[in-house]
Amino acid sequence: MIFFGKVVDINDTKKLGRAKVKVYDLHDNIETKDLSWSMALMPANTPAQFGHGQSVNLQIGTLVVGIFLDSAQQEFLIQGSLPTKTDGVEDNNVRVRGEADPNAGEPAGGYQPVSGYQPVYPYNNVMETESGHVKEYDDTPSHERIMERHMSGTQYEIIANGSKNETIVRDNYRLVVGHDTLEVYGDVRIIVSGHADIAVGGNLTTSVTGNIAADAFGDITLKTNDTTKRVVLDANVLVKGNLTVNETTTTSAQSSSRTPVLLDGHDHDETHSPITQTGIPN
Amino acid sequence: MLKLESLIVNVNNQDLSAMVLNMTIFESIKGYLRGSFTVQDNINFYDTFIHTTQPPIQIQFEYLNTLCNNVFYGNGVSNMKIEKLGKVYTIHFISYTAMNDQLTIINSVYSGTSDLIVDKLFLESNKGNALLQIDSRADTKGRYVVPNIKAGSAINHVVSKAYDTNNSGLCLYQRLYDQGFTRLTSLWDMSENYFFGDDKEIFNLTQRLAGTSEGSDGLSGEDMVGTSASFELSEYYMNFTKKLADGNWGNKIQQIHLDETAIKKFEVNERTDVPVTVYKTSDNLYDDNVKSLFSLGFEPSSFAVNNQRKRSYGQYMNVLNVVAVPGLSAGFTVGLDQGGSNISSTKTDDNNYIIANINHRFIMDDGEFDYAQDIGLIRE
Repeated sequence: MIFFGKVVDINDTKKLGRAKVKVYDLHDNIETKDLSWSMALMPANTPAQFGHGQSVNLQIGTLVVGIFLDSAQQEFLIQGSLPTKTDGVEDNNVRVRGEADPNAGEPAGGYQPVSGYQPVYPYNNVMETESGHVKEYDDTPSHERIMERHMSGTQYEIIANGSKNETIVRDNYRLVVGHDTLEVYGDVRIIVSGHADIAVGGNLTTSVTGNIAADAFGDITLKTNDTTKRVVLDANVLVKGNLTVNETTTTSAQSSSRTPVLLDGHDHDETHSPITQTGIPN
Repeated sequence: MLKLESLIVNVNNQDLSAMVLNMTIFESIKGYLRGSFTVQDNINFYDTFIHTTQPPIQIQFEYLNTLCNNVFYGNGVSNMKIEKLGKVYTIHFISYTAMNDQLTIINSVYSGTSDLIVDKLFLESNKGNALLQIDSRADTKGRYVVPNIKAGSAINHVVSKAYDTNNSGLCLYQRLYDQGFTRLTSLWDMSENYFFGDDKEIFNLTQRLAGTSEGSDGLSGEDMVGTSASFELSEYYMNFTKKLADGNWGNKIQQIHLDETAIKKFEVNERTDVPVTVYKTSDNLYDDNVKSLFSLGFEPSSFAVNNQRKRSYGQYMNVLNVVAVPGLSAGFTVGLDQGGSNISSTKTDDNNYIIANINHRFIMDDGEFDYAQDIGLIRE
């Protein structure tokens, strides 16, 4: 015989995933503290041993169905939960029911694509926890999506065409102990509203087929902290503005265009030997 | 047979004894008192007092200077024959506790030993208007959440799984001569509870031609008490093989422990090793290491207790038409006096039997009531 009841306690002192169930009619006058703990039947796709598989996820108030294992009706076994309407409130998730996206009004980035959320009942498979963590596997035709979301709003969504949209509402940190590779066939756009720092333990190599442009409103500083090292400009240098040298200038060029170079306020065109200029420019 | 010295049958405070043709009252170690009596109703008593009510019925009689008084409740009428001179019908009755056991629903929690839980359930069922005599203390204990069921069912659950320190099962029953209260006694204690005769010796049911007059066989009335011409060993380990297979003499028990996800195997401590796999009620149903009253329900010892209950009926003897013994009741142990015959016992070293039931029969004869007892006897 099958019985129905309501979960009234989930704080199993032995942490076995058990719950106390107040079985309708049978436990109407029994206080929660006197009720027995009931095990919950899990689906066969969870191993239910050694910490493997899914954990029991019942809430106080969940309507459950089950049987008694003994003739004296002391040990109840929860066979499943029943999503209906608890106290008049729909138990099925709004995303399952295909209603409006409950997170639609949240702030988005300036370049952020719109969500692919367009579920149709009964295609959307949703798991939402008590605090609001959500997993969606939406099989709605032409709008197949995967979405995983933290209750804070941090989430990722993979829409029907395979595009992925990720939102992190606070800080992001990623540790890669080994190597990391990002391969992009198209363009990459990085927009940083604050500062950006790159710290490299080894060499930093940038290989660009086209141009490199560094545009700043402030100074651009190239500096090596080792005095034996130099900043090498391994190509022709075009200086469109003024060139200021605070320390010694050494030229080791094998040839010169003989174009006068303005140094210290007057022209030099010496080509036969290196020129060493000392003193403060006038 | 010897005759009653008096009989009063009050139904709704109306004495029907003059209308009673015969009466039986049945007592057994397996339950409560019940019975029936047949009346010749030529005053239309049925239509006036019975047909829409469950009337209280007081039955009081005196027999060999022993007064017996009990109150029952009507439980229906059967076999009504409507004749020209009136109606003949049988009024059935049950005890007050039997009625309450059916009509009271219990939804509560009890803890303690089985005997104390039975005591509380009994009190709840009868609202303190009936008494329970606990002859044997139970060794089983724990918590029992009564799931909104009849008091009788709840009590049966507890009693059926209860046993005492001697691993002997408990019985809840009523005796006619206890005049209203109910007993909880183990089979072990019943076997030690001898019914003594006037000579302070264990009373023997004696095989004699009873019912004849003193003049014809030389027996005085007192000599005739407890005699019967008919000792019938109606069952001696009948279907023994089947009972062996059913485990009445022990099972090889494999017990599934869901708490540990393990199967525990117990050594056979009785005669057979017919295997049986049982499920054990969890030891961890409740917090604070409180166990269920039924946690022990499937231990081998519990099986042994149930087996003993069944085995005790393996030798079942009927002693019919006994010249009634005043005070003799179910749950007593008596001896058998075989006389010149050897039919009364199959074990020469033990002539003692527990009285499993007595059918008290009162038959109208010449305006007086003969009182006979049909007695069922059991032992291991």
